[in-house]
Amino acid sequence: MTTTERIINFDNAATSFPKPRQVRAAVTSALERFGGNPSRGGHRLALAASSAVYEARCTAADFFDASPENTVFTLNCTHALNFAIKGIMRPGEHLVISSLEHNSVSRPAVALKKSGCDFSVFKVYPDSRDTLRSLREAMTPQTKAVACTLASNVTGQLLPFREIGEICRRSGVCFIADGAQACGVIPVSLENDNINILCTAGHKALYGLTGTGLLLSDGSFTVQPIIEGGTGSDSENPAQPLFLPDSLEAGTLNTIGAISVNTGIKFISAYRLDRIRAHEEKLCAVLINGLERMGAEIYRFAGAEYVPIVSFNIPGKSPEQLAAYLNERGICMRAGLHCAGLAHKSGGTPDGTIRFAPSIFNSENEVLYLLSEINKFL
Amino acid sequence: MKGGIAVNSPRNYIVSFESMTHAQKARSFLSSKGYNAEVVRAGSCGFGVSVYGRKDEISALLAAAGLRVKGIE
Repeated sequence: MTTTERIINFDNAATSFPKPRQVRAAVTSALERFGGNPSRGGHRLALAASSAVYEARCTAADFFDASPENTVFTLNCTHALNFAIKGIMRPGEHLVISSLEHNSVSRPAVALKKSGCDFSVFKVYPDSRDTLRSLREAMTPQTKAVACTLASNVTGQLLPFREIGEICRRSGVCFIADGAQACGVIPVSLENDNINILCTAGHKALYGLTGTGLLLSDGSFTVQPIIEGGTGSDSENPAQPLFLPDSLEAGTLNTIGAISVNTGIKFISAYRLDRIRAHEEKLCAVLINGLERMGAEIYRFAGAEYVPIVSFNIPGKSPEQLAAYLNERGICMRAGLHCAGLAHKSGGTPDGTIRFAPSIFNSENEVLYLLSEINKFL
Repeated sequence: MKGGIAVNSPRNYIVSFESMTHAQKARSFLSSKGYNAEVVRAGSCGFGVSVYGRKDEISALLAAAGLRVKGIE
């Protein structure tokens, strides 16, 4: 396939593409205008870049009900989650994660065992009451934090995250939320959802560039830095400063990336989350309707809530076979384990699934084309 | 005040902060209160806000807004 041929991207849960026209324009402009290093030096190029990054912080902070000084730019959601989980946990303390976690949560939990931190897994059920019961059972007096996704990257199932946050708040436990698949699709608020630390990607439903992520803190738990280096501040201090955002932003920031996230958030704010979700859910409904007629296995439970992601399999065919077939026809979809071995193990899909993840830029006609191609594949 | 310099007379001050982000937040806040403020380099490796006004008023405003100031010179 050449790049001039039509490509339909249904892998927006990995990273959104295309990006909005406004984001492309802002990035192009930023390359010409913001060539200085933010927070380094007092010359006009550095100060202009600093102002642009600060504006991006304010936009992200407003969007998630945080403060700009507690809004940290990271490389991606995994980077933010590593900061949060490893920066909060100390030897002897206990961590709780869910059964639907991406490796960006489960692998740091496994790695922390070497540092003397134990962890437990609570099971996510279709009924949120069962999920919350499972969470309570997994918590111990030593539990320091609960780290879990807001929505599964495999099936899109939403966790009862506000209630999880409430349980954590009442227990004095830090709630670290992975918002990679929820932020930009549903409203997420540190304040309203009892989230202490929100980690998310900038390049998925926030429509920024790859290489962008965010960590937003409510300031109630100190996140110890795990990477040290230049911050442009407190340079006479041999140790890493402990105040946000500098403590977690060692090294030069991705100015262009921050500007892209700023513009992406403004784009979705103007378009409105409810309209974005309604459009993408409509596409999911069209797909599910067609897949059911073909006898596909669709990994959704009655009674559970979902973000616009659909995971499925065609009986007798491997997900990779189908993805390769669709790729030849210009349709990009991800097959396999989606970097979430734990979720597949608990979900009964050890061989993986194929995942449909639309964006605001996909159309119903594209979904109908996908269905017609799947039908030919059968 | 005759024969000296008033401690609290309006003049240009440099309010220094822990980091660029805190300085930016203070600049934004002071601008919203009608002050002419801009972010500047302060000291060998710090950031501040250059602002014209009375020291006691500026200090009180920043303290009320919860902005942690390192110094006002």
